[in-house]
This record gives sequence, C-alpha cells and structure tokens, in this order.
Amino acid sequence: MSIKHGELPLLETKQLWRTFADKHSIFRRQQQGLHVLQGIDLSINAGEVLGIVGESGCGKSTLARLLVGLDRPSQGVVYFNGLPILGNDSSSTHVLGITNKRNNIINKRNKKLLAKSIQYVFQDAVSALNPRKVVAMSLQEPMQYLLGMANKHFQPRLKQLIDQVKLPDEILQRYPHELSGGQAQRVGIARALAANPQILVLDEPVSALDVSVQAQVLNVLLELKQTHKLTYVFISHDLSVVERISQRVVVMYFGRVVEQGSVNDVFHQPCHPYTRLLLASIPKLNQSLAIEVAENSAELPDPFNPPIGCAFAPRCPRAKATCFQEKPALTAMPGEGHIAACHFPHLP
Amino acid sequence: MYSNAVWRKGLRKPNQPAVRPSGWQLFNHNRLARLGMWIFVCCTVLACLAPILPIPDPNATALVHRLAKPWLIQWFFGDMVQNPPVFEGWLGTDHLGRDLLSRVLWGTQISLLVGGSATLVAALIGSLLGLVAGFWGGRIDNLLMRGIDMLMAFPYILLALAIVAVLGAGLMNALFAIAIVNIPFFARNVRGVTLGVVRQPFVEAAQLVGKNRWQTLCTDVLPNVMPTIVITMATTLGWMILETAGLSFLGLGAQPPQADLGSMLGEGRKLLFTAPHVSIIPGLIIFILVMSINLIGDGIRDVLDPRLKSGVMGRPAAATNIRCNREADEFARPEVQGLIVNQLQTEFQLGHATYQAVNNVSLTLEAGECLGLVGESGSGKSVLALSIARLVPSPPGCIVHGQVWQDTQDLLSIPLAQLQHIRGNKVAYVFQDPATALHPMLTVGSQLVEAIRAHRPISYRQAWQQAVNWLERVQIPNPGQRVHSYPYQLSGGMRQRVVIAMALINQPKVLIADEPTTALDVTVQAQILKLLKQLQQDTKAALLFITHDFGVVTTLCERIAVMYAGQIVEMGYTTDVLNHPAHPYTHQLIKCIPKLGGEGALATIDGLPPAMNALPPGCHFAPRCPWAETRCKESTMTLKAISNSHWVRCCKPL
Repeated sequence: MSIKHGELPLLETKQLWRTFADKHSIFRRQQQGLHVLQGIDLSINAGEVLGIVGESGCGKSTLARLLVGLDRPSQGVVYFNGLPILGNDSSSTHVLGITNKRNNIINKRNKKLLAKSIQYVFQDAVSALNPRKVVAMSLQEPMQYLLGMANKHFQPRLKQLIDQVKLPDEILQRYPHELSGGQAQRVGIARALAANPQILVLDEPVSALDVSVQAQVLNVLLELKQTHKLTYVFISHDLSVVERISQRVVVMYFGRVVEQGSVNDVFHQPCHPYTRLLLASIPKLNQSLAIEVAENSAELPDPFNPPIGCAFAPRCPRAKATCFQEKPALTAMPGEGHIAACHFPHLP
Repeated sequence: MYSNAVWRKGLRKPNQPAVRPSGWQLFNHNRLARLGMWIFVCCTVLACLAPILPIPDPNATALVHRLAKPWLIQWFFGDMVQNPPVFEGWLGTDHLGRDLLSRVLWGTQISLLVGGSATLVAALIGSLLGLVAGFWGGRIDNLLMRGIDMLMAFPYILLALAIVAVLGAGLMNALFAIAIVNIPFFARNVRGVTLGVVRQPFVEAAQLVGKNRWQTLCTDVLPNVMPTIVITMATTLGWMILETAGLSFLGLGAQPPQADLGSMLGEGRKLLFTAPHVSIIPGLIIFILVMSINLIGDGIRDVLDPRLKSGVMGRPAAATNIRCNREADEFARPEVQGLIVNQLQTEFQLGHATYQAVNNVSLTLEAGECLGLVGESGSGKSVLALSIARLVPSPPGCIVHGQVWQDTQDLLSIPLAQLQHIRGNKVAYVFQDPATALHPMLTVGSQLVEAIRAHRPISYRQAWQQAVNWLERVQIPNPGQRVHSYPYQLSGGMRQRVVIAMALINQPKVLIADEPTTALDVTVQAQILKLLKQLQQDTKAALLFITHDFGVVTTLCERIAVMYAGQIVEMGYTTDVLNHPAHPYTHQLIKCIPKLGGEGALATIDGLPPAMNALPPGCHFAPRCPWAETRCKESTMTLKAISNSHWVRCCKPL
C-alpha cells in the first residue's frame, strides 16, 4: 500500500517509554526501574498492516497495551490523526519514569474516543470473553457503551458482525467455554469490530491456534482489512505469519526497535544481526536448520542490569568493542524507510 | 468434570453442545442435596405455618402437666397399668408445662429468621467490602483488609459476646453480633475470588468496550464472583443458626418466654437427666436443620463450582488402568532395542460418554531413530505419549487394547514396581512446560541427583558430579554454579535444558519429547533442537518427538507419523510425507502452514476436528475431505502401505 508523502500518519508514537518502577513504600527500598520500552518511535499509515516481531520479553505486548490505553506510557506521546491522545504532553520536562498525573492526556472523554478508534484483540481469546455471558451479550457491549446504540438495533448488527467473521448465527447463543479456540478468536475479532474502529491492535492473535485454524483466522483478518479499510498493528513472534499479513515490519529487541522497514527489505535484506538470527532460527520445511547462527547460547540480558552498549552484542557474531560501549542509533539502510540500529549492519 | 487438564489437552468438546442442563437439573441430580432440600423445605414450611396450625400457644404455661413425656414414648415405654399414657402434646411439655411441639415450631421459625437475616447482612456487607478491596486494590485494599484482620484477630465467640454485652441482650442484637462476626469470612472469600477474576483478560476487555469501573464491577466481576457468594451463603447459613442457638443458649439471644431453639436447649440443660426430651428435641431439630442446610450448600457448590467437588481433586492412580483381554491379544515377542507400540487404544470415560483419544495406533521406533508425531491439538498425540509408560490419569483414562514393547517387555502387562523402574530410566519424558516439570523448591542439582539415585545405587557425591557433568553436556554455561540454582533463577531455555539433562541422565533407551520447544522462543528453540539432535546421536536413544510444527519435525526426524482424531493417518520418511503427502489431511495441513515468501490467502481445512466421543463412521476425515466419496464414509479405513516405507489410512490416496 503506497502512502503519499506528506500525508499524516494515522497513528504515531513519539519517544514512548514504559518503566515499571517499584512504588515508594515505607517498608521497601526503592528498586531500580525496569525499562520495558525505551523510546519507541512508530508511525502507522491508514490502511497499512504494521507487523511487530520479537521474542518474549522484548516489550511488544506492553507496546500493544499502551496503544489501546490498557497501560500508560511513562513518557512519550501517542498521536492519533495528529492529535495527542495518550501519554504526557510535555514529555521533555519529565524525569524518566515518573509520571506527572496532571500532564496525562488520557481522560474519560479521550478514553472513549480511543476505544472507538483503536480496538484490541487478545491472544487468549477464550478468557478474554466473560465466561458468564453468551457471545451475543459480549458483542453488543461495545455498541451499548461506546456507540450508545438502542437495543432494537442490536440484532441486525450482531448478525452482520458474526457473518463478517464467518461464523454461524447459532454461535451468538453459546457461552465462551462452548467455543473452540478458533471460534473464540473470531468472536474476539467481531467484538473488536463492533464499534467500527479504524485500527485493530492484534496481540499474538493466532499464536494459540492450530495451523489449520490459524489459516482460517488469518484469512478472515485479511478479508476484513480489505472490506473495512482497516489498519492493523499485528504483533507476533511468528515471522512467517507476519510476513504474510503485513506491509511493514518492526523488529524489537530488549525494549527497542532494532530494525524497521518494508516486509520485502526486512525479510530479504535484513541488516541487523538479530533479524538475521530470527530468520535463520525458523524451522523450515524441507531444509535442515541453519545451525551456525544458533550457536550462541546467550539469552536476553538481565533487565535489572541493562548493558551499556547494544543489548544484542553478547549474542552477536559481529560484535566489536564499540558495540559493548555505545548504543547504536537507528540509521537509514538501503530501501525506502528501512532503518536499523546497528554499528556494523549487514549491507548488501 | 474430571481433570480439567485432561479435558483441555486430550479431548475436544462436542461441536454442537447438547441442550444445556439447567442448574436446577444438576442440583436435582445430587441425591443427598435433594434429601437436604426436602428436609429443609419441610422444616421451613412447618415453621412458617406455626401461626395457623392447630397447636397450643407456645408461651401458655400449665404447671400441672409439666415435663410430660412425648406421646409416642409414653405409649411404647410407659406401663399401661400404673401410668396409663396421657396425651400432653405430641412432643410432651417442658418444665413450665408449655407444649414442646408448639415451642419447637415457633423456635425454628425464629432461628431460621435470625440465621437467615444474619447471613444476608453478613453476605451483603462482607461481599461488598471484598469486591471493592479486590477490584480497586492498592491502598483501599490495604485499608479494608487491615480492618478485617483486626476483626479476625479476636476469637469470634468472644467478639460476639462483647458485641452483645455492649448492645445488650436480645434477639436483634444477637443477629447483629453474628452478622458482624461473619463479615470477615465473606470479605476474605470474596476478595480472594475477585482478585483472581480481575486478573482475567475479559476484565481488561470490558474496559475497552467503554465501561467505567463501576459498570465493569457490576456487569463483569460480580457475575463471576456471585457463585462464591452464593456458595458461602449456603454453607454459612447452618453455621449462623448454630451461632444464634449458641448465643441464646448462653441467655444472650432470645429472652424468655420467647421460644428459640438455643434458649430451649439452655432451659432443658438443667433437666438433662430427669427429662431428657426437653433438651434432646430442640437439639435434634438444630442438628436436622443444620445438616439439611449443609447438604443443600454442598449441592449448590457442586452445581456452581464443579472444580471444588469432592473426589475430583483426588490423585489419579500411579498407573493407567488396563482393561484388555490378555488371551486374545497374543502377539509374538519381538526383539527390539527401541519401542514397539501395537494396536494401542486409550479411552476416557466421562459420565456416559466414551472418548476414544487413541484408536488402534501401531508404530515402531528403532534404537537411535527419531520419529516425529505430528497432529493438531486434540488429535491424541499427547495421550499416546502418556499411554506408553501408563501415565494417562486414571480415572478417567483407561487403556483398553494393545501392547507397548520395550526390550522384550510389554509395559502394559508388567507390575507397577517394575514399570516404575522403567519410567525415567529406560523410558524418559520431556514435557512442554519446563517451569512445571521442575520442582520449584529444590535446586536443579538435587533434582538431577534424585533422578539418578532413584535408579542407580551410587553415592550422593558421585551423583552430584554426574549432575554437573550433564549440565555441561546440555551446554549450560557455568554448570558448577548453575547446579545450585533454583528453577525460577533460570530462563525458559535453560530450564528446558535441565529437563532434557534429567531425562537423559539415566541413559534411556527411549526418549519421549512432548512439544519440548513449543513454549520457547524461536532462537532458543533452534538451540534446543540442535542440542536434542546431538544428544540423541550420542546416546543412541530412540526419540519420539511430538509436535504440531512440521518445520520442527523436518529439522529433527527421519520419519514422521501424522495423527488425526486418535489415529495415525500417514507414516513414512519425512521427505516423502512432506513432498508427496498421500493423505488428504496431511496434504491440506501442509498447505495451511504460512511459509516465508508466500502470497495471497492461505489454504484452510473446512470444519472442525470431530468430537472424540462421536467419531464419524468410516474415515474420520471424510466430512472435511474435498475428495471424499460415499465409500469413505462407510467402510473402516486401515493403514495401507503405498510403498515399502510409506503408509496411509485412506482408500484413495493422492
């Protein structure tokens, strides 16, 4: 999807930080904060699918929760259509990790606006539905609370929603525990669509599903995107799924963006060694594992004792002395909008 | 209703749920609860009808007829000549000649009223406190719960006595005292459940559909906490009646001449030896009332929260039950180094339904070979793996047919002691979640030592040295230090390495790995797969590798078996099966996998896997198969060879 230059991105984040710090307590010594997100800059254009990949603990779920307002950034702002919708307005005046409540933009009105424009699809679809409510009840809640629709308009809309995700009508009267994983996830997508949002943030929506079911859900998502002109933020640890569904990809490692660019660039000309490691680690059909890159058994650095330099340096085959001392900044790589944070990137 | 884990892992619920049984039907199904219900209804109706029943005034004294025995007792035991039976009320009279039947009925009414009201008051206030504390958390929670803790710091009966002492004696004050004393009980119970509910994703989802905190609390949290409140009420009501009786017994509740079961008991106590009926009758009534309420409470609990049902939490047997006809299953003893599974069939009995989780599975695993077992969730692959060493929880699991040969022994027919010697020694397992496979309170080293010393008589120090060596073999950096760590100090990948070391430490002939890398990140998965491959080549163990990921199988296994609905539908060399899948299911499944560089919509398989208690006749895949014909749905399929190493369960392989 080509976006004209100069057009405002639909969703933008500027220097988003999220720090989990121990609250001040009389009984506890205050501990060092845990920087889960460290200055994330993203921009998502209308009608685009932005894939976010990374391993567990890289902060991708925290980012998703921030985007929909389930969590608040410690610092930084989220802009929707150019308007600051979340975060701290005057971020420059803030000390890291301390939120000044007065500057927090989120308020009740914004919260509803946010929920109407950006919706969230949970990974664990079954437990994201209230076990004591039939599907119809769960689906009509957004219409009732967000759109203020009258009861009489619910029925046709429910039918429409359940049709869109390719489920039979009788599903409406089922309880969540009576649904299979794939059905529950499609109900979750239908609920997210109920308030006609512009953006869906999907946090590992197919990770818990079997491949055949995963394919069904992905197809539903692809079709809905076309018919509803939706914008997706698609978070997954499965690179092949991300490649199939996204136009642009962000690779995250240890709370930072390490590489970003079009799917083509990132998957075919990965510049960051971590992206290359991820790609090489995927077990592929009819191909023995590229074991050379997986040689290094080091894992994520200790979050309470973060490295001074590049967080990936201890695992990196190309690491040099600089890597351990200086954090690499995101710099332009070959390819449109292709950036990577590496001192010694793989260049074609 | 049995083990939830089994239910989730091994079985798939029917696609079309039958008509849901209502709560009342479930309750009625429980005979004891029904009995309790009837007794309680009878007592309540009689107590309510006390004002209109033809019984004397409960407070009318008649000293002439004092301490008359109940009519039936007089009639049976009285001697007819000297003391002919005199009818003085069905249950006789007390020390003031008041009719006991009448007093018992009025007293029951009061006890029920006071107990019931106290329960309601305590439930209302306690649940509200618990809900608010659990939902808002933080300071509010701290403040409320410390208050509750203070209430709980006093022995409850002393507290009740103190409250009555302050307020003065009387039924109403006793009611308040009992209610206040029971508030902490409700508050703590409800808070605990609320905390669990609040952490569920659906509460966050409620936030996203535009509800405010109160709306979320009332429409999402409360309905999920309600069962606990109702259960607590039902189980507390009896207790409250007892406490009312207790206070009245001490003379702090009902004041004379008012009748109340407790005060009647108190009055009768002095005459326990001369006129036992005066105290025994109210005592019996209290007993019956409280018992019936407890039975009802248990019944309600079973309906609303089946997990708490007594008996289900019980441990399964040490080995899966076997129900085979041994004579009919004569099978030549093969000479194998690895493992032979022959016509294995494992079922789960849940209620009246039989779930055929593993249906007639045969496979051979040579020493040093790696066989990949692939299937989607619910296909029975995990149950098959567990059946090999009889680890399927029993009940409800049961092996009904087949043999498992390992080194000239049929694991399904040897005694338990022998089987336990084989488990973890000759046949070892690696499970999906390394966090739950390791004991959280023991160091990694002591767990490895335990695994060694369970099977080999060597000293602790020697075993410890071996544990360190093995940690080195599974490439854990700094094994000398890591051996002292607790599982929580290790990352997921490290833990899985420890579990692999534990499985291989006794040099097993057969290693069964059930999705060992599913919970791990791709880069870690790649490391673990490489390690497994290398160790398997070193130790010459036969490896049964279970996974849902075809990519993983390719990297590791020479041969592959595909399972669907409890059966192996295709088996052969990995390259053959992946490049030329002969079974429609395998063919479709491979097409569903998103591959790097793919384009457009993904292929899907229509429909859902069949319910394991209602398998379709003929080929189980036929209802979803695009190539199915009528004969597919009629004749039973057998596994047929299409080449000397490729087997397919299909009548028209692709």
